[in-house]
Amino acid sequence: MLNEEKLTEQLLDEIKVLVRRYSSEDLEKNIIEKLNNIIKIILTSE
Amino acid sequence: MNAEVIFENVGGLSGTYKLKLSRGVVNVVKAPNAAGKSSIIRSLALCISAPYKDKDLLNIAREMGLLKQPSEAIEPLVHVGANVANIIVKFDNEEWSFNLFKDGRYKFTREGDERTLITSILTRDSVILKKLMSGEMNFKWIIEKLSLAGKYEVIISILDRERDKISNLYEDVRNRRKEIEDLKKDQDKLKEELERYLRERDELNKKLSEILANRPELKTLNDQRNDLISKIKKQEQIIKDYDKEISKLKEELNNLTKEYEDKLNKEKLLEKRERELGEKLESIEERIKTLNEQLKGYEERLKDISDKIEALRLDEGRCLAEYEMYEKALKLATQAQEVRCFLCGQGILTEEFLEQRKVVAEKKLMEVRDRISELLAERNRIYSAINEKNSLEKQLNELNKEYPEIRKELEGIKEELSTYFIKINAIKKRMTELEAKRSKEVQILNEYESKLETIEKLIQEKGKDEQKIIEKLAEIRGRINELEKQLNKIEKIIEVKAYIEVFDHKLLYNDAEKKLDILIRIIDSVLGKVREEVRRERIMAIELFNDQIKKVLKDLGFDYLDIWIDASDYRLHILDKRVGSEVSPRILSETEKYILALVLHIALKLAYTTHIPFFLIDEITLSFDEVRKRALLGYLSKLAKENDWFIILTELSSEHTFTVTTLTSP
Repeated sequence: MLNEEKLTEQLLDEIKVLVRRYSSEDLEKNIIEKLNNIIKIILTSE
Repeated sequence: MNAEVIFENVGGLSGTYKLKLSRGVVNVVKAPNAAGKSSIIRSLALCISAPYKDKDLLNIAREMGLLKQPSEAIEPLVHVGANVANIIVKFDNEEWSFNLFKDGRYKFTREGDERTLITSILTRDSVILKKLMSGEMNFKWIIEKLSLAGKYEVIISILDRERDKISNLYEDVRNRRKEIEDLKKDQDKLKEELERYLRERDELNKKLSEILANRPELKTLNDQRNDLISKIKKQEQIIKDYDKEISKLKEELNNLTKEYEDKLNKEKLLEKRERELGEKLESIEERIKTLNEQLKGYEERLKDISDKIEALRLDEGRCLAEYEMYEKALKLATQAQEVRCFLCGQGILTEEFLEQRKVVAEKKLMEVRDRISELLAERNRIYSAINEKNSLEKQLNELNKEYPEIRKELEGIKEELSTYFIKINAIKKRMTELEAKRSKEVQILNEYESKLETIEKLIQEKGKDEQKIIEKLAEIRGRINELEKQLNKIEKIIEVKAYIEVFDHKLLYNDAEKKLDILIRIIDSVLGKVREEVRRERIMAIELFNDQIKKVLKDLGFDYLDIWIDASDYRLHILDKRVGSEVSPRILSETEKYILALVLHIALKLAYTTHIPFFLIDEITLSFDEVRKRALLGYLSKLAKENDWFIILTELSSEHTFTVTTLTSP
């Protein structure tokens, strides 16, 4: 079962790490990667 | 502790130049006009800032007024006769280097960030000064750059864009669902019509049979006809049963294929994780090995360092006493008082002699302090190596636990995948068999129907009453065939349309709609929270900046001024408490604007990059009168000492050489 709240927190936590680690130029590639992970979790869930 | 900065082919300087800088003091670099002071200070700023991740350092430097726009893609900070300018900074056993190529490319050896570039250097071209000069008071641009708000804004724009894409996809899926629902409605209508025709066919057959029963000459034909009708009915039922079984198998196959693909994805993810873990384990083991090499005999070395520091502390006390003694004596001598020899009490010590002794004592003291700092730095390096090693060993333990778990899970999945594969193939085989059987049964049905048609033609030739019914029956049969074909077609369309490709995943339309809806909800919720972060970051950045402005004003003795940035509109406000009203920067003199820019820059440095020990000021004090300059240099010396910074201040000189003098805080 999907836990929407948990996934929201997961993506938000990852964003917080990304903005500290990467420059504005490198943010796009990394945030898309994280978003794709979330999409994958949702699409493959039961 | 000192730093050495080496400049090679920087700006107007051809060849190599070295600058020795002292830490915890103000280093005043003096040189004549156009000698290259600004070039070296700007290139040093790039060297200490060079961001590891940021591809756009030079653009930010230009935006900040630190670099001029290059003409014809030639970087003016590189000497005209060279292809590359090199800057090396050596201090604290560290070496930072920066190579700037003529075409604007650059290389560097350390991880910096744009914050350092923005906060660590103030020049007459700095954008902060230019904005003050033009009377612009909106500081939003700098708050966005120094806080994480700007980066969060980038995230918001990317998420907004991706949300739009997903939302469009969601709309497509919804339209597909509506299309399928319409097709299903058509299908139901056609099924109803088919049922009606089948009922009508049965009734007509019954009626014809009753009529024919009263015609003894047609008895044989009638019996043959009835027999064929009952065979056709049976045949239709057989085909229906096959259809039911095939559709059940199709559903089973779809479910199994979906599960198979999910497992396949999981297998890929686990294999990726296994690879990452392997690489991480290898790099951690390698690092621990290096640290172990570094830490060989560290206990003895730590003891040795402590002993040496203890001894040096005693030396420091002695050197300080000696220095203070000469300093005091020199003060007396400059006040025209006699200073007698400290040992014999007879000879009179001259001012020149005392000055020399004071310089020697100061040098000795600095050397001892440098040595203590070096030992402390070495001790810190050992401690941080020990901490790093402990933390890596902990990580290694955790990863070593995770690795076999992943391997076990991966093996389980591979086994499951092969079971799925066998099941899927068995179903496909069974479906092919059933379809072959079904088509044989359809062939038999067609034969029966053709025979029935022949018999009905014979009956038709022999009687008029039956003619109409048989004609009607032929018409109904034609309609039934047509309806079955239409239903079959719709069934196939639904089958194709029911599965939708969503981000490389094949999903059933209603499942896709549900999942995309969840995804949009999650993105909306994250966007809301990120917007909240932007607001929080801006407020925090402004509060931090305002606190430091207040501190700098107090330290400089400008207690009568209150300067702050308003969080609601990012505007800079200057309140003169003596008159109780706000001051517009337009009425400030040029020197006052320089002082204000310096106050703001120092506050920025204190708020954001105290850990980078360089603060560079290029020709800002030129227009200051002596009193202001002395007060400011006193404050900068205190700042350098308190924060252990290298403050570098450039000034014009009539001499034709570079000179560096240091100002120490008392």
